[in-house]
Amino acid sequence: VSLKSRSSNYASKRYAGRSHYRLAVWSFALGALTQWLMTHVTSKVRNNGSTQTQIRSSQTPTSPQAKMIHPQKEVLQHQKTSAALQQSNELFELLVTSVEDYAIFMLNPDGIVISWNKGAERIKGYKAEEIIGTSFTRFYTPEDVKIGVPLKALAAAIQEGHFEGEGFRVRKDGSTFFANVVITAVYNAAGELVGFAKVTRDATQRRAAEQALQNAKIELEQRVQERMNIIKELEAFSYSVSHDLRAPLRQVQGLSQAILEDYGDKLDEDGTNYITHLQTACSGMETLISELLKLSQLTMGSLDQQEINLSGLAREIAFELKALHPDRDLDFRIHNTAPVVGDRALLRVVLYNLFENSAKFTAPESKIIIEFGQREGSFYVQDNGVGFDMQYVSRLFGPFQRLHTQSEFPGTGVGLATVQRIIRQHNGRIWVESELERGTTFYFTLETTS
Amino acid sequence: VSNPTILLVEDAPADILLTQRALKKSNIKAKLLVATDGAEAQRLLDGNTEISLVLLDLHLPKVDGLHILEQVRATETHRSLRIVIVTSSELISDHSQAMQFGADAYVPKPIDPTKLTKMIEELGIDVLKPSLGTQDG
Repeated sequence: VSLKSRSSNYASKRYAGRSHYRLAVWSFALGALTQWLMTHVTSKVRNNGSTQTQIRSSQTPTSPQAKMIHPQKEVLQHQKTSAALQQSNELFELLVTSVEDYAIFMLNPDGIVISWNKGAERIKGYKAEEIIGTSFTRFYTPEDVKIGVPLKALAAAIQEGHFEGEGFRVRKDGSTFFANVVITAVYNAAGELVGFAKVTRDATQRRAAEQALQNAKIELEQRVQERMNIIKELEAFSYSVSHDLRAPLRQVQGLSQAILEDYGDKLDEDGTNYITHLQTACSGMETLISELLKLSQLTMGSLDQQEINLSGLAREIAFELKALHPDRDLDFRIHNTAPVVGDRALLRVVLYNLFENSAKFTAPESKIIIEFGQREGSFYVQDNGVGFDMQYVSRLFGPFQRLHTQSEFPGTGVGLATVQRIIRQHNGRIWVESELERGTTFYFTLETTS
Repeated sequence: VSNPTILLVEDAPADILLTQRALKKSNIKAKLLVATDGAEAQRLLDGNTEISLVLLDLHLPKVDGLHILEQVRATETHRSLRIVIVTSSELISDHSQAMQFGADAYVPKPIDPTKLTKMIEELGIDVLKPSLGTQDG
């Protein structure tokens, strides 16, 4: 079936000839493409479609102003407009035909292909002469044809004016590709359905990318979940370990106390000394176990989220620390900060540990300046203390890691590990800048309510 | 004639030793029964009306301390039985759970003789006078 004989079936008697008909077709296609790109309403297509009819019927003006136009002038005007329109439509036809990224073609009301562009040839594999005059159902998979997908799409386009869908389509060589399809119903000025404009895009790569992204997302979620489970298990483990470590420790403490009380008079000075050291060692281990237990308990519970004024909390802690260390010259400089969202009890632990840390790591006789505030979206605790060598920074937040001897500054090395864990639990970050003898600044981020 | 008896439920030999010492220091002369796991404690308690005080560890082999506590509180014949939890746990949750299940008191390990005497006096248990039976470890 040739294009000529096919198209003559559909050319209305109102159209002067084939070129006019083709103009109309491309004009419809323009409307369809515009709509597809701009997602405009269907009426626009109908307006575009009726453009040439309006010009032809301009001899019967509809407005009073039009009536006043001189007939000769009107004819001239009509010729001019026609020429301009013809030129514009030719250009447009050229444009549509040469578009390679999209298959743009027309179907008659029965779904027979009546026009074909370069993009259609590239995407679907058929040349114009091979496909024009045949049914568009051959683009669909046999399964889709069986359940009536092609005809349903046309019905939807008629009902809604416009149909958009995605799915697998078949190329000439039988291979399939994932297509994004827009079908627009095209009407003439009399409101009769003259066919459909169909724009098809090969979305295989996009779909593959989307699926790869989706798979990566699922895999990532699984990994996060696995890690969370491992962390939970480790916490439960360290919790029970620290709990079980305490029982034998209490026995050693109890028995050494019993020796001192019951047999103290039988021990010489060395013997008593050994028992005393045994007890000191037990107390040290007791503290470590307590800290470890606290650390593992931290992440076992859920956060009690609420709005918190950190600077208010900082002032409370400053007051406490001053009362606790009346012998030290503590100068707290607390600036107002934006409210944050978090667990009050845990964030108190954070500020307490950081302040106490600053108060502790300072030469005994000097004035201690501890500043708390907010700059560039992060909170900071800054001191003028002894500082540390940044080469050890990686050890700073590890549990039981210490940068000083017990005799210099006593402690268990759990404080900063706890601080880091709490901040991370709040989806925040913590980092530190320090210089020996110049002081240390801890920075951390938290979700603010402003 | 009642024969005051204390049941110690404890699996660690060192803790049994330390508790015996604490009872001796507290001048408690009651008969002492020892169960080294939860199941043995259940057997010893079953039908025994002479036991007036149970010193109960929480973490025990076979049947744990809280379970024994729950059973005793559900038994009519043990209504007047006093149960004191002796544990190395410092957990508030363990403490509150024990009290919820009906424990009379909660003492930390290692058991302190002075505290033990004071607690027994407060609970009004008649174990300070010597029993007719033999003291047993």
